[in-house]
Amino acid sequence: MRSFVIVALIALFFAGMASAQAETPTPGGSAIVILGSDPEHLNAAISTGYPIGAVGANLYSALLYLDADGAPHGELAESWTVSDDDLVYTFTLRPANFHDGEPLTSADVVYSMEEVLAPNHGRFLNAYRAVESIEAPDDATVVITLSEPYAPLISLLTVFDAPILPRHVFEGSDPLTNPANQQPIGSGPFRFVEWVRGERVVLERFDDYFLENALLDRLIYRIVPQDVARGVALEVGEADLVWGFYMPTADLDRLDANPDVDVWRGLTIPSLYFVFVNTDTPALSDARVRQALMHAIDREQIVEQAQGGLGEVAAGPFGAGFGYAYDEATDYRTLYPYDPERARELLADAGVGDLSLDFVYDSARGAFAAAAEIMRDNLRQVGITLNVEPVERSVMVERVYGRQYDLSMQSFTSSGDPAIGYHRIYLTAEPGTNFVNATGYGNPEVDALLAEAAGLADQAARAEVYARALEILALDVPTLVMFDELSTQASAANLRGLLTRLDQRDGLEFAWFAQ
Amino acid sequence: MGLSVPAAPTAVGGVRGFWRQFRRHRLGVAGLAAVVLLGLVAVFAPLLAPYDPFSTSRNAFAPPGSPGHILGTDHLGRDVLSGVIWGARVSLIVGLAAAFTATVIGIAIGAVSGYFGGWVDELLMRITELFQIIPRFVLALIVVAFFGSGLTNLILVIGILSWPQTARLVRSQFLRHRSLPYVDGARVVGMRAPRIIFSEILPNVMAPVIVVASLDIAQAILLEASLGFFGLGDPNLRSWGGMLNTAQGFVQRAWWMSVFPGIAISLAVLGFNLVGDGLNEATDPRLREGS
Repeated sequence: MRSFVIVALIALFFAGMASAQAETPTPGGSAIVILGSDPEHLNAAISTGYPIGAVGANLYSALLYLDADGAPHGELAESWTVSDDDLVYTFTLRPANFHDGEPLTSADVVYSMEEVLAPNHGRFLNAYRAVESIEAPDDATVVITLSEPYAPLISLLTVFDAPILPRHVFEGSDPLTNPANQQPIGSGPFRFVEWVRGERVVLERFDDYFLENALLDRLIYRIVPQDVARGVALEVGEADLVWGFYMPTADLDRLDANPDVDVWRGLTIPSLYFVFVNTDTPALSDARVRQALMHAIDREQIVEQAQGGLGEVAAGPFGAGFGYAYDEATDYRTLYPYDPERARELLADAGVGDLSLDFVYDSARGAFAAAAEIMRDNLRQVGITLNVEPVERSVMVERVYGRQYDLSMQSFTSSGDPAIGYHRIYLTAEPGTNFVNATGYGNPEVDALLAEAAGLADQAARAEVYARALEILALDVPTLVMFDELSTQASAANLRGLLTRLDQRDGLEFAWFAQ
Repeated sequence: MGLSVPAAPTAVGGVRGFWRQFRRHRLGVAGLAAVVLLGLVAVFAPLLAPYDPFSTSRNAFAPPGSPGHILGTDHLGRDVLSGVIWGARVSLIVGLAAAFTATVIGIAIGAVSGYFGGWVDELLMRITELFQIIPRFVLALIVVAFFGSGLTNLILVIGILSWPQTARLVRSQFLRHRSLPYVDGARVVGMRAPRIIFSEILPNVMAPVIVVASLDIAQAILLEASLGFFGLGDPNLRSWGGMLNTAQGFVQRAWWMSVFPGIAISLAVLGFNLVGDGLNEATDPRLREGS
């Protein structure tokens, strides 16, 4: 009997050793994640802003999530079926609770989509045009019926584009001003603790989460507006995670050499950098002037110096990340090579001389500042004076989407499908809605073609329609497409379990600290 | 006229005498040399700078001593020397204009306060104290962040935050002078207050005001550079503070991006401070007798 105990103990000992080597995830600890600016609020259903999504991804939940390869899996949805005609999607929900203890049912899903997301969410509202009805036949079933097939619907049901809000908190109020936007109640793996404006947002593990509970005790989003301070915060151990969106590329080489910091580079969700052109500005209403700007800007220099090489000069309005949304005939790299001479000719044709333009950008984005300086120099060569205006993010949003600017640098993520991320930039829109078309460009033909492309599940058919849209956009150039971005991330070397989802902001419930 | 106005006391014994006094102060002369150099560089920036300050190139991070770039290039291939030269212009414009603004406000408030005394003095001095206890840099940061950081704004903000010292000095001088015989005399012959203030007393108290003004210039240059360092300089000008701001990200990779503008700021601030000290000694008989 005693020998049995000893053998058992030895076996346990070795089992312990083995698991220590394989590094079993251990719960506990607080991870500090850096945000470059304060979120405007914390309601992820009414904004596509980056910091809101960063907090919202771990605070809210959605029907589906996309894994690191972009494949959809059920989150709130235990399973789902699609009818043969691609029009009816039926989701079966898991039992789940909100952070205030109330159960999450199909009614919350219907309410969130119809009342909050559709009118307010930049990306969801485009998809909603294809939706005929969203119904809840019982508490655990949601049926979405489309009026026409809409291929990217599935990738739009994630926490970034369709987070589920508690109906009992929001119903009967204006979702834009509900107090829960400051003290959010979600159903995700982390619950809201506090938000100290300009300093931090704190979340803690929600122990009643409907899937496996998060490992970390707390997630602390620290707001660090100074971009050079972010890498330093990692180095001195005052932060654990900085996403590429906020990471000055110049710091990456230095962080590479630091054994306490892990640096990751790669292409996740294609993401494009643009310069929006306000077509309400008289001189910029002429397509020839916009073409001239394309020729005048040395995009290779911008990628090399402002982006630290972490990018590829973009092929067109939808980048090069989607084969079906790329057409060799309209490749901007051949259509619009850097050619100041050609730019001057086009400006002369348009009768434009001595132009002075306001260039507005988010002052927290270091790469934008460097790009602005290169553009200032580039445009000077063709007789255009750039008046650079770095402004605080909320001011930038107000000015750009209120169309009080001439040029503005922006980055947009595709969210896995051009129909989700990029169509909104070109579809005709009224000023005032954030993160949609801010250029004032409107072309019914483009609107129709993009709507058609979005409904085609067959990629070859979609490619044909896109080619026709690209042909128009390539000549109209409402946006100056700069480059496809390579994603990066820098994290504390002992922080594990990252990058489990397509969007690196998502899935922090799997993160844990190695001892 | 039967009445004779008593002569005002002379503070300075002519320009030549003044220069003789100033010359004795070696550091002051060194400071003056730095200031003159700065002035020449600022005035002749377009001729001296080898490149346009905004001109970028593919030749980024060239170290000092590279062909064509004595002080190297920055992350966008811009010439550091040209940036430092054009930055002198920005610093000097802000320094002089802000100090001028501060001096004008300071004289106006100090003179009124000191000459009239009473409740006017009380009120103005409380306001002056209020401005003195406000942390200048923090307030400047907030104001510039709110109203924008164009050159004019920078000058006004720095000027408006820098006048209290001048005001207090002018007030104390006026308190002393207003009961001296030459002022009494001026009153007796019927001169009005503004004329007494500006043409009788003011010329006699200008010497220490100029000393403070030269120190104000140094402070204004430093404040402008600090704002620039925090990204709140004029984004459409190449300034020393702005150069330091962009250099932050490259301290380990390209030290020259921060060292040269840093030296320029130090030289300018030191120069004006030393000139101030020299002027102080040359104009204040009490300090002179000691040496």
